[in-house]
Amino acid sequence: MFTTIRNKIAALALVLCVAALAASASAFAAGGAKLYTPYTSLSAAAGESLSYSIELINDGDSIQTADLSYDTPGSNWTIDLTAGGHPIKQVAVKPGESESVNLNVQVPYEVNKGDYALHVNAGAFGSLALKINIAEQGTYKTELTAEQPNMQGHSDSTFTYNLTLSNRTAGKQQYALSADAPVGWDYHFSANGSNVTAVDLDANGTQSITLTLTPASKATADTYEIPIQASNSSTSAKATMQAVITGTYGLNLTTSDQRLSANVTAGGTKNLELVVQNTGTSDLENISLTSTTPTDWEVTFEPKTISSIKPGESVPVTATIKSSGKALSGDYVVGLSAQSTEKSSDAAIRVTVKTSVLWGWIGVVIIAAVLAGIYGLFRKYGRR
Amino acid sequence: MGGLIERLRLPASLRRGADSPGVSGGRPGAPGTQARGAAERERRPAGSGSAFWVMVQKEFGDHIRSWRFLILLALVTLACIGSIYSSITALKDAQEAATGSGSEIDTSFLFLKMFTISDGSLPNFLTFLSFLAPLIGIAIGFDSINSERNKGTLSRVMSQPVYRDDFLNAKFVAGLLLIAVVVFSLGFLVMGMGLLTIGYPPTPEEFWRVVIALVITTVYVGLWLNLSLLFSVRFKQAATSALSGIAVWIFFLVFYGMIVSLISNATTPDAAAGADAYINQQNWMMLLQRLSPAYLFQEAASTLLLPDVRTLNPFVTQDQAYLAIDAPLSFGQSLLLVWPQVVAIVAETALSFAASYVAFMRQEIRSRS
Repeated sequence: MFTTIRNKIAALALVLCVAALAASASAFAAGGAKLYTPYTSLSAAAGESLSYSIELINDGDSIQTADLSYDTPGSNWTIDLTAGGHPIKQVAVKPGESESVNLNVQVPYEVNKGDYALHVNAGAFGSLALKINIAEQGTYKTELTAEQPNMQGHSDSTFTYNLTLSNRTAGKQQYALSADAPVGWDYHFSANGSNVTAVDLDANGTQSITLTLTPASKATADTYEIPIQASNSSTSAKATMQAVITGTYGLNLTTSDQRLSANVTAGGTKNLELVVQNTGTSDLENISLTSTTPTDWEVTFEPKTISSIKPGESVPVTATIKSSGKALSGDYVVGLSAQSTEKSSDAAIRVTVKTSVLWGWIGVVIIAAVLAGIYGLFRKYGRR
Repeated sequence: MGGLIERLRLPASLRRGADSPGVSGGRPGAPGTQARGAAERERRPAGSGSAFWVMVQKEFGDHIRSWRFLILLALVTLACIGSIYSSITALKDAQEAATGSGSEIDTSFLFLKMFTISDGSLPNFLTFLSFLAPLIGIAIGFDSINSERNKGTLSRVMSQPVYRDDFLNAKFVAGLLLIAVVVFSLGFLVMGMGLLTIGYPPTPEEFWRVVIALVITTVYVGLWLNLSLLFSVRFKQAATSALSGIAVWIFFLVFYGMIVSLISNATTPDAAAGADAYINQQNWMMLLQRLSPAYLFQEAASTLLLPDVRTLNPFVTQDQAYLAIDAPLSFGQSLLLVWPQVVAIVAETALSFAASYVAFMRQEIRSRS
């Protein structure tokens, strides 16, 4: 009985051993060593770098050694294999264990849309087909973009554009910055708080640049296009900024000789040569001339209204001030003003009312007559 | 004018005749002396001017040395000093008030203010002058003709080879010169004392304003001189002519204003009549006031010394004041403003002189009449 049980156990162990041997022999026959990576088909953008972790699995009972190689989808793709921080060419894997290597794929900027196949060959481990899908057409260039390329303001305001310069090339670049501003306009670029004319950018780097634009003081109302450029010998980026000058309105009323005083006889008239000047940068239209006068005074303008004045030009106007006959001698204020819908200008004229000299002469005549009468008395009564 | 004859360059025979009392000189123009008068006329022109000026000098000297004039001068000078004291006190008070409140005193035409402001204790210089200066004129003129006539010296002078009207003219010119001297002395006294006390020099404009105001004062006092000359020609008694002069003086300076205000009260339109009637009535009252030479003088002199005065109308309407700047007038404009007053004073002076001239020339001159 005892012998029977021992035999049975030995027979079972044998069977198990044979089964195990048979199983291992079948695995070896299938290759024994394998390559594995989880993500075999990835989508990537141009300029992106992909990292794959590739496992080399040795299922055999002997050490497996393999040379590593790969074939690239295009000439400008940068691929390297590293392990432990070093480039690797060959790898050895102990039986029953696995090793991993890193495959770094740098997708070039200049790449067409489509699927790309990448093969990693590892000798006895076989080869691994990786698929990279480029969803968008890649570029190999510099980009210059503005958050808000259109701005509006008066000719005396400054325009500040926030730009972003991106280096989408493979290498580090130095860009010279320039703008083609209209004559009389001033501009400067600044980056990181200081004014610059050139910026250095690493590959795939971006830089915020501020363009400050000062229009010419007499810039007329218009939309101005300012092409700006970041360039060097190999690459360049262009953008166009728009500055919309709405123009300023300026109106000035003064006398032709800048004197703001006048004399007038009570009840008399005085002509005053005025000048209405457009000091702004936009046309002024329908300028009317009005006056604030003391009671019973009259001010008439010739012409009364001006249809239009171009920027920088002036129009002469004659104002006739007629004082009241009852005006006291001394100083009065006569306010003159020119008004357009956009702007108005005032001129306060100090008018000195003078008494008519006529009565002064009449007084002299009266005194002369009295003296003549006395002389007549002398002739009549005296000297006898 | 008793000693006048000695100073005239006269023929010795005539002088002897004149020196002996009781002997009447030949009257120019009398039928008997017609031929001699005509002969003298041939000789006279060279000497008549100098005879006139000798009479003026004599008359001037007599006045200067007379007690009457000294007393009057002292009175007027005291009044002026009092008024200056009053105005300077007022100026200093204003200065202290301004310093106390941290502001600055308005120094424009500060110099002229000495003539026109007062602290209330005494009238200002101008008021004093308009009140007392006529007295100088009256005092100089009231007995100039009739006392000579009463003493008999008039006929003695007339017996000399001088023109008859030269006598009156010399009285007038000497009186006016004296008045000018007194008025200008007082005026410059005020200016000098003002310079000493306030230490603020006048601008040329202020100076000329004062000078013209003093000239007008002289003419105004000349008017009173002519009035009293007229009375002294008309009335034989010096007392009568003095009283007449003083009566006119009191009438114009005291009673006339009261009479005008009485008339004004009586004719005031009732409230329903409206502004026009009221203004009209006030204008009439103003016209009445201006008949008084004292009022004319006050207006003329005060306007010249107060450049801020822009009108002499009783009213400044809202229409006139709207947008007017509170600025002083220029000298020329101030003068033009009061020019009618000045003309009126000058004309009245000239007319009263003409009246006394006619009255004097038509009078008979007898010895001891």
